[in-house]
Amino acid sequence: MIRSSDFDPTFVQEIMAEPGGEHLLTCWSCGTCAATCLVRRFDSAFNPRLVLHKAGLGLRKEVLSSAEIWQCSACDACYPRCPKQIHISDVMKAIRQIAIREGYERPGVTAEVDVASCIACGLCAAACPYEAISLEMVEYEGGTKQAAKVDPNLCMACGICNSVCLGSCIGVPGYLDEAVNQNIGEDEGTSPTMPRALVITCNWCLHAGSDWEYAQHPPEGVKVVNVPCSGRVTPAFVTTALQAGVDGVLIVGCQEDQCHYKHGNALEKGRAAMLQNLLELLGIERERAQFAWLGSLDRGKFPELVNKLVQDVQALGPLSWSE
Amino acid sequence: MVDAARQPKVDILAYSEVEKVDGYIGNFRVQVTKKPRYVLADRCNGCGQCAQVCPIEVPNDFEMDIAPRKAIDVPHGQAVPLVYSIDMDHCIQCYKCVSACGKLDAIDFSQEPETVDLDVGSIIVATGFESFDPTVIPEYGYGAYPNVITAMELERLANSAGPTVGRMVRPSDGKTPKSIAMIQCVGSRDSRFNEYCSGFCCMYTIKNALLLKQMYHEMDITIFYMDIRTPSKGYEEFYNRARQSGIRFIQGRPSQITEDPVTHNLFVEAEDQALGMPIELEAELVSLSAAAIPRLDTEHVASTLTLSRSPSGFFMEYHPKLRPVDSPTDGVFLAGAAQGPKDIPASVAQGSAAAARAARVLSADTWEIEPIVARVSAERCISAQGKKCGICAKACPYGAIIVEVGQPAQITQAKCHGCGGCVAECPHDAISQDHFTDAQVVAQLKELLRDKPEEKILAFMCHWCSYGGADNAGTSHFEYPATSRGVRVMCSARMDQDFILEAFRRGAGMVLVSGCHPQDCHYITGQQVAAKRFDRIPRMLERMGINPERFRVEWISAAEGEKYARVITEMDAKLDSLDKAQIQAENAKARPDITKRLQRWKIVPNMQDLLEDEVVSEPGKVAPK
Amino acid sequence: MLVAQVREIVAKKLETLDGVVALKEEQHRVAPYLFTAGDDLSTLVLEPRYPLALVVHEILKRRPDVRIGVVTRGCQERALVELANWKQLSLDQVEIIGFPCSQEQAEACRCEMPYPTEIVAGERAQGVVDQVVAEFRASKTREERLAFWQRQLGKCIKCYGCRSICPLCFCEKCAMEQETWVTRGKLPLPFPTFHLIKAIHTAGAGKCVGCHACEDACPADIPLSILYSLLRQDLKETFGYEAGAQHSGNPPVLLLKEQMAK
Repeated sequence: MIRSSDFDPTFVQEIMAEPGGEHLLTCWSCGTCAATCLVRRFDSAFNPRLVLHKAGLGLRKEVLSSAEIWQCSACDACYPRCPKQIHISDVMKAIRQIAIREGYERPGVTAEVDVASCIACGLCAAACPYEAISLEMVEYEGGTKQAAKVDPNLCMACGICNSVCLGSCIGVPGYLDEAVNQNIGEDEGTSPTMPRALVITCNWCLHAGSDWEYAQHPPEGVKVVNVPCSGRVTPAFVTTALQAGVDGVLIVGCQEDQCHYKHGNALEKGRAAMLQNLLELLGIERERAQFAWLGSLDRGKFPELVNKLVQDVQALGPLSWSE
Repeated sequence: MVDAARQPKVDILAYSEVEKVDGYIGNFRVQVTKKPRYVLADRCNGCGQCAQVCPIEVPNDFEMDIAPRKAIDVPHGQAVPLVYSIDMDHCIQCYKCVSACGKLDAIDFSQEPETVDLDVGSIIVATGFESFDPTVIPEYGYGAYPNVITAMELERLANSAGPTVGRMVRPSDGKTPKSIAMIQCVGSRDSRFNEYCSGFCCMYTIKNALLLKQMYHEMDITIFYMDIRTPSKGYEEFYNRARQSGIRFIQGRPSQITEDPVTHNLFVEAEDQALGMPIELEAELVSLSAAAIPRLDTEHVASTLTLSRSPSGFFMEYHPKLRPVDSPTDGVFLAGAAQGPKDIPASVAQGSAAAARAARVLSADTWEIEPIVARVSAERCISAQGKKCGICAKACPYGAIIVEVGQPAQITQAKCHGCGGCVAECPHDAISQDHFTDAQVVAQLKELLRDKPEEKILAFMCHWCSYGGADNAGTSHFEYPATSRGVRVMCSARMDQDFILEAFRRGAGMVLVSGCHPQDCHYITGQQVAAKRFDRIPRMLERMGINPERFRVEWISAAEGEKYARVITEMDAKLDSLDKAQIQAENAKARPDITKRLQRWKIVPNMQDLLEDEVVSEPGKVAPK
Repeated sequence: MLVAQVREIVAKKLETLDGVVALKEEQHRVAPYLFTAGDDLSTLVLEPRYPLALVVHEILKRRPDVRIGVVTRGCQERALVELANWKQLSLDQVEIIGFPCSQEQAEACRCEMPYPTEIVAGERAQGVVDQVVAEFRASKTREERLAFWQRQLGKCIKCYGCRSICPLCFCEKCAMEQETWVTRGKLPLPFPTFHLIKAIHTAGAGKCVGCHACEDACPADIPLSILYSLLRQDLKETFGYEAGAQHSGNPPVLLLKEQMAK
């Protein structure tokens, strides 16, 4: 039971004094944000409406100690739809600042650096959508060395840093290159006559429940691998797949302005074009590496895309490089 | 409407536009243009044969463009007068209608617009509202998905006189939907579009839902809402009936609507707040309860009639509680949704009220106007000398001043409410205010600041708010020091910059100007005019060498006696802390500059002597009488 | 003579620099050498073309306190600029003693800028527009292309020469050596991930300056530069990025972010 003695008005004032938190009290809990929120699709425990409502009541301890305040990835899908025009991700950030000041830390996995192999080239720091990575002198083997350092309070575990790092020296546990490559390479026991197709989807692009279910039970010969963001997909994943005997790869990410991690899809689009040109020069058909970008209003498009991949791959036949 | 048409003393000028309105209460001159119908009203009997044969179809506003109408048509079956008119932009003059009309011979392609001049005593504006177009909310899919419609369109489909003769069908396939979702607050209560609540949508949605439930017992109906607003008589009971009939109510504002590209069914996604869970509802048809917005020609009507508009865009009433059907312009009244979204009972009530208010004007031989009015001196007005000015007209909240270069500014006294803003704003002192002339005010300053002025706080107060506040302080026994001396004017807009300078010239220790709070000014925008003026003064004083802390601006309402007392107490303490000799020195230093600035004031009647008065120049002295 | 002029200038520079990296000929063999004050400069030569930026980087890695010069062509200067963009060295520590390539060398490398920004002697040759990719595409069908590369890449013995000689390959943990990317134990490679990763990580990442050191080094004469030309052209067209063209102090992914955000 919540008691009024749990309400702390100074908490509300603190949030409203923080840049971004000014409009906390105009929220009337209509739930538009919660219904839009992509994190919520994935993890029903996260509810931005409840976070704002509890913060508005001044439930300091409950809000600051919760895991939810760290889960908003500032994709800002909710902001344009909020009828009170509250910049919800800014309010979340304001609350996080207060939490950090009071000694709370972000729970869950964040990116980790393999200091031994890091050469401090700065690529991950430049690519991180949250500016969570900086190049600093870190302790190493009794001395110090310049290397990438991740601020766990800012890291959203998207894995984009991993995808740009040429030496795979940084990444999010659970989605490291070895794990993903293994997943990609595993053959689900398809018959040798059936062409193999691989689909790599990001967590957020399949908005409709029916599309999500389709991804969990794809047709025969199709394997679906999940990554946090299409930006996590380094082009080398495609080469791994083709090396492992996959005949066609489809990578699905979010459409232009809807990337859950701000610009992961933009990075991926750039690399996609380059990879496709490279494969074409080698004489490998363009259709073997396909890219698609779905929006939250694109119900029913995902099964269409997968069917197209299967058809294309069947028409092309198996890819055989070495005679 | 039929009753109105039958009343011999009521003249309906349909299919006409008000072009110009001149004059004032009791004496308005209205110019109306009657647009040509190309049909002779006294011959047309409304039989409709012409429309039946007309080959041209045009968009039909009344049917929400669900069905077309013909190029010759009436707006709808109950139109009064029931006279047809031709949309000449689309008519091809094939003369089929002429043939169909036959012996009645009512069609006349040679008709021209006709101007009618009316002399009227009062005017009522009841121009209604329009519906918000939800196309600008892309996440709801209106315009993109065929089966997302507005509630008005739903009404036409359900209406037995409508384009489908009362059969509810959905646009994509013409079948009766088995499930409907209705979404509330589309474009209302939304910072992106309209902040206000449109007021009647909850009721009409519940009505539509109950109607459909009656017609189609098995239909599955869901209403998505943020709040259900059913405040008036019988409304809450109506809402209960709806719930009991099996209509589903989900509290949660939908975030988006997506469409199955094959079935054209819609999926409404929202957070069910009560459950605290996301919900995805499949519906064969979606109805959006779109906001009521001001008509798109409101600005034009407002400028024709000199009406103000509220922040929402609807016409502004004189006072939201005490005079809801009066406009700030005397003799012009408001009724219905033109003044703000409202339902039928409220509109009818306002209609009766406006009629009564308007009738008062008509039944009187004379009408009492404000005695405290402004007058322009033709000799002093610079516009009369061929120069461009018009500052007075801009300051007037009532549009009572007309300025034409070459003529002195013209004030329609019947429109003047007496705020005095034009008087104070005129840079050439060309306007005076009856009963509050410059000389009358300065004479008060002369007496109030005769004896030891450096120890005094001169307080200018507006009649409606801050003077009332000062009175309130007295009657409520809020104590404050006896160092203040008050001068009352009608509005803070009247508080001329020159008064303030004159007060300092006469040696005042401190000056307070106070008026109503920004939203409370009795003269609507008088306080705004004053506030802008007062903003300039501290820097001006500083440049003259007067400590700007000796000047203070406060907005005090008639109920804020405590505030008035507190302000005077604070100013008194400040005055105490200042060295009187220093004050004298500052005043003395500024005096030549002020005197120079106020030279031109001498052309105003009775000002010359006052300005040549000897003033107190040493502390503790008294000026001669 | 060009080389005589260069030797004179190097002698002068050695008065202020800690050393100058250039090629030295001894007993008919040419190898990179760090000349210091007092050395006999008559052995300093300019040919053949060699990625001296690699040597400079190795020296500066070990001796961040020194300031050295390098006698170099255009491509190596661009390699050094790009190394600075990737934060691997500071340009303050390097002084370029530039000389131009000959016209034949420019044609052989299909080089657009066969000279450094400043040259101490000699004359600049005319830049050449690289048409090899367009020609390759135009002259071969898809099947022919496939056959071509199957044969060419099939010659590879995974000597890692291309990787080792590339001045812009500086990763401590090289992806080409990781089993997760490149299967081991099979030659010819069942699928050319080895080459694709090299291409994507150098040219695709905006590192490749087109110095042809890899192609020169390959014992199997694989025409690697065709692949890299394609990626370099793509990068320039789509993102406006040219490796080594500008010292921005930042790797090119920032540009990618900005470009795609439009």
